[in-house]
Amino acid sequence: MTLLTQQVLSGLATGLIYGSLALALVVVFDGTGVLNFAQGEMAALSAYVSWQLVDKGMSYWLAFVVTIVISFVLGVIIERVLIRPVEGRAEINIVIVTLALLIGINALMGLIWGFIGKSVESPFGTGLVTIVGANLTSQQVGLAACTLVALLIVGAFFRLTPIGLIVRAASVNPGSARHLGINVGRMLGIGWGIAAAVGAVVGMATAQITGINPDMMGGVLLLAIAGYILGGEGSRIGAVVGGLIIGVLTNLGVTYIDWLGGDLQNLVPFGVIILVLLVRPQGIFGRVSAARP
Amino acid sequence: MSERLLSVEDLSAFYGRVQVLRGVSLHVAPRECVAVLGPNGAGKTSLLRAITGAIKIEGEVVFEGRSISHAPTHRIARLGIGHVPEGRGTFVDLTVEENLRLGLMGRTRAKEATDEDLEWVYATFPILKRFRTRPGGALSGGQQQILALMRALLARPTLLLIDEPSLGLAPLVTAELFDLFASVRETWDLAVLLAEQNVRRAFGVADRAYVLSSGSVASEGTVDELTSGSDLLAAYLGDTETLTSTHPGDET
Repeated sequence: MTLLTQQVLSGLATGLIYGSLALALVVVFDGTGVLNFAQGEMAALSAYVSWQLVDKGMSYWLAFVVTIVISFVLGVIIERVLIRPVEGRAEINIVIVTLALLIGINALMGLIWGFIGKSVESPFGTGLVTIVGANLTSQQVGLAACTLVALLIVGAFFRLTPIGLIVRAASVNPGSARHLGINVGRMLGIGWGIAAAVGAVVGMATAQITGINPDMMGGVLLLAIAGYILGGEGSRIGAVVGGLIIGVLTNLGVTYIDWLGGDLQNLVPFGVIILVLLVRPQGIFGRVSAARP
Repeated sequence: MSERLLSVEDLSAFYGRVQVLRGVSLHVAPRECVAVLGPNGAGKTSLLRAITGAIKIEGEVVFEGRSISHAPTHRIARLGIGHVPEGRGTFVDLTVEENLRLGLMGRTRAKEATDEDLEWVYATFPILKRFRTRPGGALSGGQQQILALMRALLARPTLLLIDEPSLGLAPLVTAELFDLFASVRETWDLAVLLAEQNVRRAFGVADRAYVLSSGSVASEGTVDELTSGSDLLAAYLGDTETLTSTHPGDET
């Protein structure tokens, strides 16, 4: 029983990371209408930026905050310079730009920092924390707290602030938003910035678990996409819940199914994707839109 | 008559290679209600979309003395031109109250008492207050039409463009809606450009009207002139028939 609690809790902790990246995917999807395949590489780039800042002597938490700000700005710039010109064309155009971005950023990181991994010292120490009889590392708890705070801030931004409402309006009905004087292009840019900032938290959290290398986010992005599909396309809450479920399922699968280890653990997210698409394509929170035609 | 809030000169517009507006000229004076009449495909919707910069145009659109021919839609909106678009433009996934608040945020001129205006809307339409936490997309067609009108009004436009408010609504709801226009115009002190197929309804609220046919102005005049000269209305109806028989491809 303790083993079960233990695996569920640590699954939830990693699930928060997947859910956060899934949330970033949703924010971009809502505004731009495509999955940003470069979301993972953008997060990896953020991890490198924070590593670089710490390497130059900045304290971890200052670097953490500065990296989030830099990533936000970078997200806005990427939308403005690379996405805006293909905005409004067939979706495949935007998809191809995000794929180019994925390859480009990956190569850029290799060029600047090399392909050999860099390790990151955890600011959470190496202690153990006992929660309802299960032992979690202080790092797991710390990372979970970080991502949770990031999620709450983003949620509050969208739910409670006027600018959050305007960003949502611009993605729900761009045409109608323009008629109310909303600069839709600028709001999409802000959406990309927020996605990049959330991605930065994910990148820096992942860096503490796996270290930093140009390919570090590939697996996380796959799990995030599984969470995104499970939660329901376009649902922010769904993305987080989907990510949590994927985290727990993967952990339980590896624990209780003997042959399911190593790279084979990716069978869990793939299995979930296939099952959801077959049984309930709109996902858990997916809405069959209430709009009248 | 000499004072002009909006003036449109020789306006043409295209969807690809299909010309939908052919040299349309019209004007709206402050606090005037002007109807744009015409059958399906005459170019009513395109005309409103052209004025708000949603489609590319040739010609000149002047609002409050400045050219807005090539301004982006959101900037035109901020100058004080509201638009209740075809299809009502509901933010379907946002709540009714959020839909209305977006209207308040669209307000540019410093006009105080924003929450009071929201309360006025709720007092006038208790149904919107009752459903304020529901998604906008869950409202009925008539309720969404009222929501669209109120959202546009809360931005306090000087000129409001309204596209076919009666489309898809029951006659009784349409009647209520047009009564509402009449009272709202007084309360909010605004000019209206109303695109409508229902001639009788439009004449009930309009001061003047333009009749569009195949993308150009077939006739114009005050409502009295247009109703007394039955030949003008006959021309409009006659044009409808030629439109459907000779230009079937011109439907927009």
